[in-house]
Amino acid sequence: MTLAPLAPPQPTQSSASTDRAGVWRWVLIAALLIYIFIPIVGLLRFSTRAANGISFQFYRDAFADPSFYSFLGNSLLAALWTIAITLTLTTFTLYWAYLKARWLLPLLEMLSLLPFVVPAVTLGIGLIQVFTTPPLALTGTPQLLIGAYVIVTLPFAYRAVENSLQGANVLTLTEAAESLGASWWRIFLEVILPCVWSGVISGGLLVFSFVFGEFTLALFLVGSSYQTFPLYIQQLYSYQPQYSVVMSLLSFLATWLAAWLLVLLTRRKN
Amino acid sequence: MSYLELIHLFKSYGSVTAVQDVNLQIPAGEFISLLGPSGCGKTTILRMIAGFEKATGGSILLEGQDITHIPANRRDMGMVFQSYSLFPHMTAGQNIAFGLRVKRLSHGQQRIRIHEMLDLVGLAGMGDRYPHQMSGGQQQRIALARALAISPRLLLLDEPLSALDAKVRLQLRNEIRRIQQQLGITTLFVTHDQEEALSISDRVIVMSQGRIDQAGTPEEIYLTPNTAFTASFIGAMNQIPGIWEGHQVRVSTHPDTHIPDEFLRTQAMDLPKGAHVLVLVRPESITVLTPGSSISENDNLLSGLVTSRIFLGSVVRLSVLVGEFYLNVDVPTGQAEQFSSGHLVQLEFPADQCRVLAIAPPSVQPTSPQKQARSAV
Repeated sequence: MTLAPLAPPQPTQSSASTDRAGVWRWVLIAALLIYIFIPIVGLLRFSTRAANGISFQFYRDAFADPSFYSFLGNSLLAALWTIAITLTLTTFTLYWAYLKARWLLPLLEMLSLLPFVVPAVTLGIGLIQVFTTPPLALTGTPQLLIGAYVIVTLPFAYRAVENSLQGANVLTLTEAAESLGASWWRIFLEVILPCVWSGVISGGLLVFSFVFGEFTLALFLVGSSYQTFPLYIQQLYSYQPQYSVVMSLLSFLATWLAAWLLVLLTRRKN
Repeated sequence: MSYLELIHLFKSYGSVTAVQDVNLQIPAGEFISLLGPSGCGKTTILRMIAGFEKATGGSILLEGQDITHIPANRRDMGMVFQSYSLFPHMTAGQNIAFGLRVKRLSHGQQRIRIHEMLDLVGLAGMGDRYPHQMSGGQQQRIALARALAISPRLLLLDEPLSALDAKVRLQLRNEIRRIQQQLGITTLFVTHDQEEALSISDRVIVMSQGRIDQAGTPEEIYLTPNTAFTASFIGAMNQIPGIWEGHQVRVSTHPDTHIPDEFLRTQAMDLPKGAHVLVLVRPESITVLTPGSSISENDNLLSGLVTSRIFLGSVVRLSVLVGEFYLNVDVPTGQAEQFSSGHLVQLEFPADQCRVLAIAPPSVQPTSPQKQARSAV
């Protein structure tokens, strides 16, 4: 038997269409990047504009303002409390449901999506109605704002933690640890939590991104009594627009940082 | 005194009863297999012993102590699961050390025990590997090492070989038996694989519909099944219904046909004449006669037609129509060439290979064109 000589590969119709698809992909990516970055470049340009070229004076002034740190601190505090409460609630509830009441999972799934369908304005007005009169007169307090954030960020935390729990064989791992004599707390902290840690972190970062930039609920529920970073930006905008732009860019930066960490962690998990 | 005792154990899920009045006594150091089809209650029993399921009724005694209501984490039992249950974020060594840390052993003692256990399961030097860096068989060995590291009072194995491929399963099965005998640890092994159960157990408990169908040594279970279920579940078995006529069984034939009844010589039984019985005979106990074959006076002799043949490796299983019944007959592969479909053959099997089971009289049913052969495979 003789072997026919190998013929050089001929360009085919399918390779041409693949090339075209590749070009379109890059066009779309470029369009998306332009769409995202043009406003940011505009903000950057606006915040560094000076009579004699480029100046970072607004940045220096913004950082020198003591109220900047106070508002930033308020937002960070609200974000951290929200992360702590949302993730604790979500992780414990889901773990319990996975162990003892799997039939509850579809219901929890549905409940976790509810905050998506209720607009922030509606939720804000509703909460004010309920929490204005004693004994639950919480309007204007950070507690109410954090409570509202916990509700609104539930879907982010739920999805992230649930995905991790689904991937881990929670019931068998729990039973294996139990048979080795471990207490419930030990099992949760040493066995389950490390297995779902990437989901918990992802959920936390998503919650942070949301809370750090949230404006509507903060305006409705606390207003001037507990000013958060987005409220500060809005306040600056009315009389010092350049400062407000500096703050907006900082807000973007914080969110991007959170997103970048999310990508890093997801990659590591994969 | 029994080491482990189950007394009138019940488990129900709503209206469904998973375990019904199970009584079992297990001496120390025995390797017991709970064998049965899916849904027969074997895993439920194991999980009640482990403390993962609450018994609806009855009690579980371990070394005379009632442990029925003791939480799982205080029962001191090692368990290996069907799915690889290693903690994925811990190395093999850390997995083994988990139970030791719970027991508050010093770091030095933990290190020594980890090495002992890795040696025991034949994975010395693999303590630093993570579960995802190990094969399924290796992971189950580590799971076994982790369960044994705490020196449990009882070792519970919940189908630990089911997820492994055939070759690894065979290796690990022998390893488990070796380790169990080396440590002398009382072990309960749940499986639906009869070969697995028969090959490594001191005693096999055959379960059906939440009850113990038969308990005995592997030989007893295989050679002298006491129920039709055990007979059909363990290995292949021909089941021929008939009427007890004293020293032999009249094999029932269709009342409308003129085929004369066959009489089978069987093992002696203390049954009233006229009792409905099943004659049990294994395919490997039946010989296909060839010219020049000698037969004993006490053997049964039947003629039949080969209707199909299945190659099973060392033997070929013939399906032979005898009167109205199909009998499965195993013939060594080397001799099977001469028996093809459509051939008339003579079958011979000794009376002492025919076990008789009394059964309830069959209910009257509309007759079918061909009477159902009850040969079980």
